[in-house]
Amino acid sequence: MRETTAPFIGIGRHRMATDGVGVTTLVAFHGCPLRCRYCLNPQCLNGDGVWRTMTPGELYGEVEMDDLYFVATGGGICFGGGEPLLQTEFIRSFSDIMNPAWKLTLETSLNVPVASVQAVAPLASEWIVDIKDMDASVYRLIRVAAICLYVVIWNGWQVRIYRKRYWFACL
Amino acid sequence: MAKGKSTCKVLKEIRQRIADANGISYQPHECHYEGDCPGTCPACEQEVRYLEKQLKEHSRSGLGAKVAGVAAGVCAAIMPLSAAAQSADEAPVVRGAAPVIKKDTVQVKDLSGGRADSVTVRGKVVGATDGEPLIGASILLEGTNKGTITDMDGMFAVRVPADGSLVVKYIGYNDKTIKVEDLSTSWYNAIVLDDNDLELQGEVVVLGEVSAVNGDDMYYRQNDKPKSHKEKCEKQQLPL
Repeated sequence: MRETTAPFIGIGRHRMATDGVGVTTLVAFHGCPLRCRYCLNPQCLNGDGVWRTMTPGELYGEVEMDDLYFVATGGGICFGGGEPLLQTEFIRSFSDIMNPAWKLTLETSLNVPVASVQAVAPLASEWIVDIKDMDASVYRLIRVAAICLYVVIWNGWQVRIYRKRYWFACL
Repeated sequence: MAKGKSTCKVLKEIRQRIADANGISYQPHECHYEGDCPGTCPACEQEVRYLEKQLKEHSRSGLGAKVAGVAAGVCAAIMPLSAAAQSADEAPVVRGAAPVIKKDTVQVKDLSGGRADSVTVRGKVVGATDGEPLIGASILLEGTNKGTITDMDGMFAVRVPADGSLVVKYIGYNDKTIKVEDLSTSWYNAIVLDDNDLELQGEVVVLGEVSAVNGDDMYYRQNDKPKSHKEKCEKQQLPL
């Protein structure tokens, strides 16, 4: 059976206080269902923006050099991009082979099918959710829900409750 | 530049805490580098390798290795988490071909005598037995008395005629002569010197192999990268 691969736009090492707890390595996927004009990584939308295509094992080989920092600080890998929830099979495969002491963070807009969220929900320690809605009332609703319930995912008008920690950002 | 220095400082603090928690003698190098810094460098990476090696020895000798959470909170204390996880002003993660590590940190020594067909080659000299960098190894342009020596990290950079050869020498190791045309000019070349366990009768020149290492690998590792945590633990005889 052919091994899962995924396209990437880059890897950012030694990130602190932006992608989860501790020292993290940001692994940015290529590809996104959105076309935000303010996108920080627009190369994820270009066909020639692919930096490398790797298997989970190859990615592990690239990021394990910071294993000591991850374990010592409670950090790990933050999958972003691009939209990481377009690569749930890859993320699941990677979580199977990585050091189980690493924490996984997912930075996503959640503009994906619910099944994609459910596929990786048990794996992530933290979610960083970009709310792509300019309607202030929608943003306030989500903020209130997050404060009250502390664990809310907003996806296509469906609400799921997971006992995890979330950070919300409204762009 | 300030952010890179700040990152380096935090990482150094984490390494120190790991060393202290395990009774490992560790003296971080004093960095005099001036310029754009990504937060790490070959010297810092070598310190990580040193700690990993020491922790491995601790595990094998039954002392155990205490790493998990020893530096928890260091990042938060030094770089407080902001309420907005991502700022629109924050620089993007990567651009273009996304090199992870900046490599042009060694000053180039010109041995070409001004020849138009000269090229710049960079390399790191290590010993075959342990892979440790060889500090102060001689890098000579063959047929001349021009040369340089490797720095504290075993690295060098020279500008030489494209049709020339480099002679690499270090006491206790066999000399190695390498044609410039066999060296990569795109990334650092790993030059491995074999131990000299023979009684020499005069000078011995050995034509050896040079393996060009992928420039993305900050560690210039000679071995294959592990494909999983399980494989890494099995190879290094560490507990899972």
